[in-house]
Amino acid sequence: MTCPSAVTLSMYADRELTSSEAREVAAHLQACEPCRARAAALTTETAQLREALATAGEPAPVGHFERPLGKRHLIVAAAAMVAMAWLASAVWDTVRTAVPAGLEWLNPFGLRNVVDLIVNFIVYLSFEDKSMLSSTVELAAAAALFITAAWSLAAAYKPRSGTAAILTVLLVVLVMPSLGHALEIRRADITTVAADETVDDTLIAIGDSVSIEGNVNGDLIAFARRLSVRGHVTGDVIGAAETVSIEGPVDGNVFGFGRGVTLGATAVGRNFYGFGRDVTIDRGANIAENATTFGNDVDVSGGVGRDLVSFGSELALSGRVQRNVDVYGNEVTIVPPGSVGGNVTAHVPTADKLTGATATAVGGQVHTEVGKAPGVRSNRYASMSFYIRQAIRLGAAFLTGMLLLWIFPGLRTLSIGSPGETLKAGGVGLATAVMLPVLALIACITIFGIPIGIVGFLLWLLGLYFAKIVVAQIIGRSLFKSPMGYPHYAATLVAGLVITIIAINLPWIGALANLLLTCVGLGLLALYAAGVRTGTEAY
Amino acid sequence: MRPKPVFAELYETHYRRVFGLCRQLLGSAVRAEDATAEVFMRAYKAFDRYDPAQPFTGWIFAIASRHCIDLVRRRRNEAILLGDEVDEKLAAEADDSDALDVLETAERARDVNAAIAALPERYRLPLVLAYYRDASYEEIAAELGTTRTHVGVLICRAKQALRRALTADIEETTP
Repeated sequence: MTCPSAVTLSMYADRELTSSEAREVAAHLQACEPCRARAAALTTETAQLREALATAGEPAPVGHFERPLGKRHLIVAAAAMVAMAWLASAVWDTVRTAVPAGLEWLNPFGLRNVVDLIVNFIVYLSFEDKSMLSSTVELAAAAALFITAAWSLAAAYKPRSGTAAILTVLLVVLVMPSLGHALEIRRADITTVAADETVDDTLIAIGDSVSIEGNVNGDLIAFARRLSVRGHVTGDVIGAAETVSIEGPVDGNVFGFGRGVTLGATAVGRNFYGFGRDVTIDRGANIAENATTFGNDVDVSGGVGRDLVSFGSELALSGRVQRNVDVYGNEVTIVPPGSVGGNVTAHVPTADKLTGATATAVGGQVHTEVGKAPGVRSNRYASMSFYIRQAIRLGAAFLTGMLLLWIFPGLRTLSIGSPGETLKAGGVGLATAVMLPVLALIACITIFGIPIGIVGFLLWLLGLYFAKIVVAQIIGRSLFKSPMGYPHYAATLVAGLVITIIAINLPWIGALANLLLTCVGLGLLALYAAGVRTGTEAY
Repeated sequence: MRPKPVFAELYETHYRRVFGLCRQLLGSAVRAEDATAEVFMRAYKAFDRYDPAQPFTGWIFAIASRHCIDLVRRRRNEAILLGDEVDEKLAAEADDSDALDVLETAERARDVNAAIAALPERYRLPLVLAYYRDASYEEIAAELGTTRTHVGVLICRAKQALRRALTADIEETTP
């Protein structure tokens, strides 16, 4: 026979010829020295190739095996997700019903509000004096506290979330008053401090009804359905209840959260913050510094030593405000003998909604800023400005996103592998959204100090804004996913952002989409920042 | 009947080898990482059908090969992927290169692997399946959807291409 072909010899060396073919080749090799040498070399070569293949590369690190979720897990997970979203949105719905316009900006999941807040915050930082800064911080801290209180109250009604509620309350309880005071915690259906009793510590009172008739030489923190304070509190009063009624003197600040918040004929040594459907400052009440109110119906009959800032549907002012009044509302009335020492700035739907701002009542100037009434919405999809705004929003998010992805290349390649990871990120995100401002608040009022608190709060705001950019990038990447690799991250970012912005503007489900995307994105950011999650490949 | 091994343990003990197979088949460590995760996910879902009497390596390697071939196929039209058997055969006959002593030095192993990773997929897939996974030509032919002789031609061509690449390397490094 003639010499076997290269292919045949190769197959022979690999022992892959049929037995008859192999016999034929073997017979030829007996006779042909060059072919025998070639076959032997081929065998060696094959062995060496096997060896080279087996020793290839550095040993890969063994990743952790994540079990895929079963159907049951998915159902439970979906239910949990819906419950979580419902819980969160229920909190905000409650807030919104209570105070339709004023509290809208507090919603951490409203992008525009967040942007406004950042801008306002920076403006304050740059232009206003220090007192304005500290009052802004106090406001932020109060907002964070309110979120915590609302969250823990809502969670308290869910048996499964009991642990979360207890943890939240515990955290607030443990860290908030760490001003060197000792702590006293009282918990009963009806918690009272009798008229002849004096509590020399910070007092935490929890119960269906909390009634403080005696004195508290420290702060008072109370969670209840009905809270009434008639005694003297030397520190701050922080009260969350369906009805909050403060009738005794308070030397510090008053933070009242509830359906109805009433400040009776008494003195407040520092600031008053009232959040509720009805916020009333009675005749005879006297607030030494500023009053800030968020409420549907706000009635200020008492005196305010400095400024009054009010957010709400209706404000009736029949008391005396020494300095300026800044009010956002549908209807603002200054009723005699109400008076304002400084300027009045009213943000109202039409000029005639501000009444009684006569020269006798107002010492300074009156500005009326006419704008669309908060809470009154036309069909937003019908107006051109809506689309222009969305386009601007897209552009801004794109520029911010490019900067973000340029600074942190690892974020370009973040990905979510399984529903489990999405859930985990969502959970972490929700926890971050709730906890970060709380921690910032705690930093503000404890030894860590205000600067750290501000940084924390800014991080929170930035995180909320960046969250959707991160998710958009992941969505964009999944669109362009192909074995050939991905296009430039600018392309994936734009595509993802377009989808995200459309999704969060959908009627009905847009808000939910916004919430979910924000939670997942924030969670991914938090995990990324913690170093748990890194990009999957170098770009 | 032997008790069925715990999947997590099998994962620990087999991850590196499966990853190695995927890396060789795909020619990229990055894509191999994703592929390996997917392979174990598929194996986990199909674990009910795994017969513990059979070696796990063979079973998971089969899943890995199928998945990686799928991945490569999705990128290429199948006809282009494997090329024409007759043309390839003629090219193989025309090449009279002799087998190389490819592993003269330990550093050489890296060059060999780089050359394998750089091979066209139609050569790399059968070569890796035969020499890394230890699959027979029959098995390879079944997985690639072709004939045993076509596999033989492709593997022969693969080795010829490797020789060319590695000889060029030597010429470059020793002027």
